[in-house]
Amino acid sequence: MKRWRPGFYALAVLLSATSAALAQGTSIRGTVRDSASRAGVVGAQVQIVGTTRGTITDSVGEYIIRDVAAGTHSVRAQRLGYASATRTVRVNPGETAVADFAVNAVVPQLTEVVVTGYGTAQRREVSSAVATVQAQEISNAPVAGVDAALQGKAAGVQVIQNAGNPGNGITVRVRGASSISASNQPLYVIDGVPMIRDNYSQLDMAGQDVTAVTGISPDEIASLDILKDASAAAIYGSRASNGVVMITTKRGQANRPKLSINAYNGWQEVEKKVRMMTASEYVDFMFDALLQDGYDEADIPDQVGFDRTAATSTTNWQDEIFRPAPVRDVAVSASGGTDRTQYFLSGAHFQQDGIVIGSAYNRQNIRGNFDFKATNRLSVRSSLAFSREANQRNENDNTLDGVVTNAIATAAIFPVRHPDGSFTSTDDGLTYTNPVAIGTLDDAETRTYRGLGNVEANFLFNEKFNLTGRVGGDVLNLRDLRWNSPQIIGRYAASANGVAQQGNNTASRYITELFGTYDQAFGTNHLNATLGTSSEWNSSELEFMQGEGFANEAFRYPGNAGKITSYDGSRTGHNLVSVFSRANLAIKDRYFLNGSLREDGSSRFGVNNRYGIFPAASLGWMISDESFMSSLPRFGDLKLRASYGLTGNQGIGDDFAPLTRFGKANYSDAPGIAPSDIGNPDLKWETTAETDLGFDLFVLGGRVALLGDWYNKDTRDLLVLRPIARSSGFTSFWDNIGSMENSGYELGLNTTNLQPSTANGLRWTTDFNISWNRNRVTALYHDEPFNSGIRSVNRVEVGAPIGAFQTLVFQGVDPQTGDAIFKDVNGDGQITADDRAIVGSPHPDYWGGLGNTVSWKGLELRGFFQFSQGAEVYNAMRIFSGDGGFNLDNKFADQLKSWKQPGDITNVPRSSWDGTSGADLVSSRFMEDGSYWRLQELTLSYKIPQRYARVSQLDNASVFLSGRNIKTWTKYSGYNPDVNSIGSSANISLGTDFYAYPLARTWQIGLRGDF
Amino acid sequence: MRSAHLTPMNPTLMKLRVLAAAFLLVGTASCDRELTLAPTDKVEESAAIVDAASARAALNGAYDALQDGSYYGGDFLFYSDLLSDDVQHTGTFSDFAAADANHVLADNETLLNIWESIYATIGVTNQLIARVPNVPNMDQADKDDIIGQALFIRALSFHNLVKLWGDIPMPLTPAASIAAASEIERTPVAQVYTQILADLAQAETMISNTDTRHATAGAVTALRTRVYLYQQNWQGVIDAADALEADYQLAPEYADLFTPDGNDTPEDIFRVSFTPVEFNDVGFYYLSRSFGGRWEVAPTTALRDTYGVSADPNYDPDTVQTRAAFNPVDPRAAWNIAYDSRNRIFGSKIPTPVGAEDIHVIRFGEVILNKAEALAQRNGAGDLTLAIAEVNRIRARAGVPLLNATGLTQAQVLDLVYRERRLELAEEGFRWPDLVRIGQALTVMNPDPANPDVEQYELLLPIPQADLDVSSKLVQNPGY
Repeated sequence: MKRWRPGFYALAVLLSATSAALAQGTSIRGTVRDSASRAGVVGAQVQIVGTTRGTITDSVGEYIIRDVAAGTHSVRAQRLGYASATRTVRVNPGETAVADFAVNAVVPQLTEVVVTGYGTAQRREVSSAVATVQAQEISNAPVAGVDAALQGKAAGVQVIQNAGNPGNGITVRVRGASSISASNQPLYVIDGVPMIRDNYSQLDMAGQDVTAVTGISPDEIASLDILKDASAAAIYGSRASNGVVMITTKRGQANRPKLSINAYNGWQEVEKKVRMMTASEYVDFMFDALLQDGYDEADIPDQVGFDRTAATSTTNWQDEIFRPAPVRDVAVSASGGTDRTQYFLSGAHFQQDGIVIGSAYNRQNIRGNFDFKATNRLSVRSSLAFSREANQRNENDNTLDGVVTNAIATAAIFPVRHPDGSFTSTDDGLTYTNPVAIGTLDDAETRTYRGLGNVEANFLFNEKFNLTGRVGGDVLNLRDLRWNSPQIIGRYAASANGVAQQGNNTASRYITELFGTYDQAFGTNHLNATLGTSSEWNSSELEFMQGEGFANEAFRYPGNAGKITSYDGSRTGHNLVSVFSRANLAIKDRYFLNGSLREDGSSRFGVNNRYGIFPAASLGWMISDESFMSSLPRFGDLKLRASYGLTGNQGIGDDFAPLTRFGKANYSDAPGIAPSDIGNPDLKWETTAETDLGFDLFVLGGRVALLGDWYNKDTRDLLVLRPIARSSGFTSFWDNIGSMENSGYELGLNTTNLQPSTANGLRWTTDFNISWNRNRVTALYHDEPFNSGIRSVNRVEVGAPIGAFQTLVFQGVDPQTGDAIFKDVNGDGQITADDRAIVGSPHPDYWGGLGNTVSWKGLELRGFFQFSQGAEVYNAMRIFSGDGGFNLDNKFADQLKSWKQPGDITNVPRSSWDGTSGADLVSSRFMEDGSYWRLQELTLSYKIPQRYARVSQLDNASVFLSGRNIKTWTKYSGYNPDVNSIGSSANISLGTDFYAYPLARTWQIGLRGDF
Repeated sequence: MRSAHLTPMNPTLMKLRVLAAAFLLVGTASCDRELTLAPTDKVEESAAIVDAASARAALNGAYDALQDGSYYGGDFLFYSDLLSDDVQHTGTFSDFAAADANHVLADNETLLNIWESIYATIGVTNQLIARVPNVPNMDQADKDDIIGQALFIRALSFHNLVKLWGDIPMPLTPAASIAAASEIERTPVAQVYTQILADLAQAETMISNTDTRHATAGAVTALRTRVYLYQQNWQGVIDAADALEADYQLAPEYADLFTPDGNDTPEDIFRVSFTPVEFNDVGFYYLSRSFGGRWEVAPTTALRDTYGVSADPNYDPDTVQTRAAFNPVDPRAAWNIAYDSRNRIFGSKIPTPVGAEDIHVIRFGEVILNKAEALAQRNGAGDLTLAIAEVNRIRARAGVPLLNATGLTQAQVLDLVYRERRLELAEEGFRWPDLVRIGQALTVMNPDPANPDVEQYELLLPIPQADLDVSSKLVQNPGY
C-alpha cells in the first residue's frame, strides 16, 4: 500500500484543489459536433477571430471562453480532419452566449471516436493499433454472441466458431495465442467494466462449452474497439496480453423520443451433410475387410454381428437428427432525452432452435442507459443490463453418447425404432447408444441470470480537469440441470435407473474506479493525461449434486433421487488492485506521443511478485502534414505509427497458487485433510513485449483508407504447471517457464468505389481485411516437447507453432499389398510412434474478410465473405470412420475407393478387420486442408420511402432479406473446417474435428424502423 | 483558507467532496489487505494442523492416501502381481501390459502414479511427525497415538518402496521449498531399513488405537515380522510373530476376509477401509465384464494349476478350461478364481466391482507364513516340523489336506512354505516382491534361461523419469 501513496496523494491534491472559480463573467460557450454523427468533437480549437483568445473542446465537445469583451464576435471552430466553421455571436455584458457548431468531416475516418480504455480519442490521434467495428456490421447476425458476430470483421482478430450449436463457446485470438496454460481469450470490457468471460457451467459436454460472452445482446452494442497492440492494451495491465475488446453500448441523444424496432425471423438448416455409407455399401465394405484378412465368408457374421441381409434397409442417421429450425430476434428500444437527461431503454428476445434435435438457445435482455447532467459540472451516467439465457444442450464431440457423434458412427443397417415405436439400442446390435434417443429423451439445460452494469459520476472542475468515479458489477448465476434417461439402453444411466445432475454457480465481479483526466492546450499543442486507480473483487461459488435412481421420468432433480452419488460445494476468488496513468501529447497536431503505465497487484500471485508494472509508449507522426511533403502534390493523409509495451496474463484457474495448502482427504467417512498443493511464492504474470509498426493512409478525402501493421509479440514467463520431485509428496506447481512468439502483418482497406453526388445515387463500398500471423514456441521447461489432444496429435515443441499436428507420415498405398506406406522418419526399419513428425498446423497462414455494399435509392445489397487459408483440420472422425473396417462404426463414403486387389492405385488402404493394413493408424492421412472461403452474409434491404412509411408512423423503415453461411468453398470433407471439438478453452488441442456440431445456413427476413 | 471557511459552501460542491472522499476511501482501502486472500475450500499449510481435531483429520489424510487408486486402492497391488507369474494382463492399459511383460520403462505412467501415491502418503506422515508435537493444548497420549500411527504408515510406505526400487529418496521432513525438494538423493537400502525399524520401535510404544482400520500396536509388530523377513532376521520374525499369538487368530473361513461390507474377523491386523464412495479398483479390475468388472487383469492358469485343480484323476489342465469343468479341490482356488460364461478366467477374490471391500495390508495369516518361513530358514532342532505345523494352521483353515513333515529336507520345507504363501496370499500383491526376496524371480519367470523374459536388472523397477528430470542428484537403477 505504501508504494501507491503518491498516486493517491496526487488525486487528493487534485480533488481538494476544487477551485471555487464559479466567477460568472462574460463568456461564450457551446458544443462542437460532427455534422454527420452528431457526436461531440473533442479537441477542436475554438477561437475568437482576430484575437488570440480561444480554447479547446473537452471530451464531449463542449467549450467555454471566459472573460470576453461584450459585443459581437466572430467565432471559429476548427479541427484537423474537419472543414472549419465560423459563426457570429453577440454577447451581452455579464452573460454567457451560446455558439454551437456542426462541422463537416473532411476525412471521416480521422474523426472517428476510438474507445481506448479510461477515455476516448479520435482516430487521428491514435498512435497504437486499434480496430473498430460498428454496430451495423454485426447487427442481425443470427448468432448468440458478439464474439461469433465478429468473425472476419477486424484485421488481427481470429474468430473460430468451434461448432455450430446455439450459444456455443467461441475461440477468439487477437494476434495469435500467447499462452500454454493460461487463457488465450481477450479481455472484454463493456462500458468500462471488465466483463466475466469464462465458462461457469459444471456440465461436461465434451467440447461444447459455453462462455459468459453470450450474455450480451449484439442489439445493445453501438461499437466495438479492439485494442490490439501493447501500447493500446497496456492500460489494462496484467490481463491485456490477449488484447482487449472494448464494447460500447447504445446511449440516448438529446432528441425527441425515438422508438426503434429491429426484428427478424429466420429459418436454419444444416449447411452440409457428410456422405456416409449406405447399408449395402457398409455391409460390403465390412465383409471386404474380413475377406481381405483371410476370413471365411461363412464365419464373418459371427465376427461382425450381422450378415448380408442387413443391407436390405438403410437409415440415414443424419436425416434423423437434423431438422429445419427457426431463429428469431426482436429488439425494441426507446431513446431520447433533453440537454440534461438522455435515456436508452431496450429489450430483446433472441430465440434459436438448434438444427440438431434437442438443442436450442434463447436469451432475453433488457438494458437501461441513462445520462444525467446534474449541474454544469456534475454528470452521472448509468449503464445497466439484465439478461436471462437458457441453453438446451446435448452432447456431441468426444463422447460415447453424442447425437452428432453417434449419427456419424452408427451404421446405416440399423433402424431408428422398433416396429412398436420404441428406440433401438445396443441390445439390437447398435455399436453405440441411439443418437435419436439421446436427442429426444435426454435433457441438459444451462440457464444464466445476469446483471451487468455500472454507474459513473463525472465532475468537471474546470475545462481542463475532470474526475470520474465508477462503480460497476457483473454478477451471474448459472444453473445446470441435466437428465440422463434410463430409457437409453447401453449406458450407465440405464443401469442406475436415471441420472440427474444439478449445479449452481454464482460468479461475481465488482469494481470501483476513480480517475482524473487533465486536458490542456498550449497553442497548437495538446496534452491529455489520465491518472486513476481501480479495485476489483472477483468470486465464484458453486454447488453440485448428482443423484441416481428415479421412481419415474417425471422426476428430474437430484432431490428425488434414490441416492446422491456426487456432491460438491466450494468458493474461490481473486482481487486486483491497480493504479494506471496515461499521457497523450499532440504536438502541432502532427506528432502524437502516448505513454501509459499500469501497476497491478493481484491476489493470485505470491508476496514476492505481487505487483507488476506494465509500461507502454507509442508515437504517431502525421507525415503528410510536414512541410517537406507539401512540395509534393497532396495525395492524402498519412500517419506513421510505432509502439512498444508490456502486457500481462494472469488467467490461470488456481487463485491460490502461491500457497502451500491442505485439501479434503476423508477416510472411512471421517473428515480428513492432506497436503494438496505446494505453493510457489515467486509466481508472477506472463509478460508479453510487443512491438508494432503501422501506418494509416487516407486518400481521396477518405474514399480509400488503408491501415497496415506489423507486429512482434514475445511472451515470456509462461504460466505452466511444472513437475516437482514426487518424493516431496507433491506432483506439480505453477511456475513461469517458457516463451512463445507471434509475429504478423495486418491490412485493412476500406474504399468507396462509387461515390454518389446525391443521397439517392449509386454507392459502392468495399471493406477488406487480411491478417498473417506466425506462432512459434520458443522455449519450454527443459525444452521438452509434449503432446495433447485426441490421440495425442497436438504437439508443443520448441520451434513449432503451438498445437502443431504430429503423426505418422502417410506416403500412399502399396499397389501390391494395399497396405498404407508410412515414412520411416528415424530410419530404423520399423514404423513406431518414434516415426511421428509434424505434418501440419491448426493455425491458418492468413485469414480475413471481404465485404461489399452497393446501395441505390432505398435498396442496399451487402455481401460479406470470410476466409481462412493454410490451416489443416485433423479429421479425427476418420479414426473410426476411415479405419478400413477395424471398428464397427459407419464409414465415410470416400472409403469405398479402398484398395481391392494388386495393381489398384488408390490412396485408401486395404480394408482390414484385424487392423493390419495401417488404415486405422492416426497419420497425415487424417489431416485435411482446412482452407475455406465462406459467403458468410448476403443481405438485401429496402428502405421504405417516407411517403409510405409515414402512413404507419414509421421513420427510417426498412425491410431486409438476409442469408448467413450461404456457401462454403473448401476441400475439407467434414461439416465445417472452422472447427475445434475440444472447445473454446483449448490452448493446445486445436483444429480437431471429432463429431462437432455442424453450422447452420440461415435465411432471414426482417424489419427495422423508428417510430 | 481564512475566507473560504467563512463563506457558506455551495451545497452541491460539499456533496461532491463527500462523494470524492468516499471514492478515495474505496480506492485506498485496497492494496495488500485486498490482495491477501485465504482459500475457502482448502487451508494454508500453517493453519492446517493446529489442534487435536485437525491433527486427527490430518491423520485421516494419511489413511486416505493409502486408499489412493495407485496405492492400496489398486495399481500398487496390480503391479506387485502382474510382474509375477500369478497375474496376467487381459485388458487395454498398455502400462499394465508392460508390467505383465516385465518390461517397465522409466516413463511408464502407472509406475509414476504408484511412486507418486506412496510418496504422497509419506508426505502426509512427515507433516504429522513434524507438526503434531508442536500443537498446543493437546493431550500427550493423543499426540503419541497420532504420531505413532504416522510413523507406522511411513515405515510401511518406505518398505513398499524399498522392496520394489532398492535405494530410494527418503524424506523425513516436509519439503522446505521447491528447490530443496529437487535436491534429494537416494538413500541406500540398509539405511532405509534402519529408519523403518527405528520408526516401528517408536510407533509400537506410542499407538493406543485398537481399531484395525487404523494402525495398532499389533500392526506395528506384524509389520516387523515382514520387515525382518526381508532382512533375513529369522529370530526377529519368530519373536515378533509369537508376540501376536495372544491377540489374533485365523478367521474361521477364508471367504470371511473378503466380504463386501468388510466384516471384522479375528485375523484382521491392519486393513485399509473402503466404502462405495471411497472405493478401491480391485474387484472392478479383476471381475469379468459380465460381473460388472473391466477384466483388466486376471489370474494365470499357472496359479490356477498350483492349487491342484481337480480331484478328478482324468483332469487335464490343458484342455479343461471351461466354467463347468473348473472344479478345484482347494476352496481358496474356488474363491479366488472363476470362469465367465465365455470361458474366460478371471479373478474373484474381491467379490464385487463396487470396491467397498476393505483391503488387508497385514493379516494374521501372513504373520503365520512369515514365521513358518523364518523357522524353516533358521532350521534349528525341530524347526522344520514347527514350520510345517504353521503351514498346516493355514491349510486347516483353508480346508485342504494337512502336510506331513516327516523326512522333508529344509529345501523341501521351504518350497512348501513358499507354495502355501502363494496360494494363501494370491492376488493380494505379494508374489513379485516375494519372488525377488527369495531369489526365485529369474528362475520362475524365465522357463527358458537361454531366452530370458526377465533380466537381472529388472528385479528392481526404474526410478520414474519424471523425478529424474527434476532432481539432478537422483541416479537411475542400472540397466534402465
